[in-house]
Amino acid sequence: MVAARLRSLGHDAVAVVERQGLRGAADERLRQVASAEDRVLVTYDVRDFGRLGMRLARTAEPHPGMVLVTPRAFSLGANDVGRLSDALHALASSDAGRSMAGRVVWLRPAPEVGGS
Amino acid sequence: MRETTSFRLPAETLARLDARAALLGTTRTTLAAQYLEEGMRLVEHPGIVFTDGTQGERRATIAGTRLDVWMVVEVIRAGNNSLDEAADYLQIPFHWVEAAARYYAAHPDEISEEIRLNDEFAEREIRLAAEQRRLFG
Repeated sequence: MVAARLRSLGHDAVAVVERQGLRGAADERLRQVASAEDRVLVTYDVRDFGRLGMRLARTAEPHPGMVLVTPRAFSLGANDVGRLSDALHALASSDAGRSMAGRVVWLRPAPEVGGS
Repeated sequence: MRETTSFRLPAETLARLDARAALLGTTRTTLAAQYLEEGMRLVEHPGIVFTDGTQGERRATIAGTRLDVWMVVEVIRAGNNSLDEAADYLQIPFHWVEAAARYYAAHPDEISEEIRLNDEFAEREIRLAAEQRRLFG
């Protein structure tokens, strides 16, 4: 759902569930595929990938970047697909989002447009 | 509570168990107890398997997916406890979500602990990232 919405916003996004060969892939395999395709990894599995990011930093291993999403900031379900997509779109469109290589970023809600 | 017991196992099985225990840096007894418990759960919970986390910890996961049970539980809760909504959102068959819900019903403390550890890691790292920004901009 999120990947489809990001594609509609013009991003080259793909969900793991859309790739038959990645559905049950181990974390390390997923990371390798993301690196090979130069894709930033977005995940709710913050503990595993957060630690993986630390390991990559320690070994100075290059990677295209990771975005960690916590279920407390964006609930893991259909209700927050819009907010999550907006926040990812905002990040990808920002200076920080355009230079994600080697970085691990915690996703924050996109600033609301308009309002009082 | 733990009880001491003994089994007669084929020498070849023990040799493989010892080799695996050495690889993981644990003991034959600890690993045998873990495999026995996981084996029981595999039978009791069709559709659930156990996978390794980045630090070797074992985690209940929907077979053939990257979806840990704790994540599915989070999705179910976020969708007003609807298993149908969770299946739609995750784009997986309903019975997979049901398998995760059933596992949670049997082992709520284990799954709640997974959720707590994920939250705890996130809170600590977000706090450190904010402090780093404050110190260095």
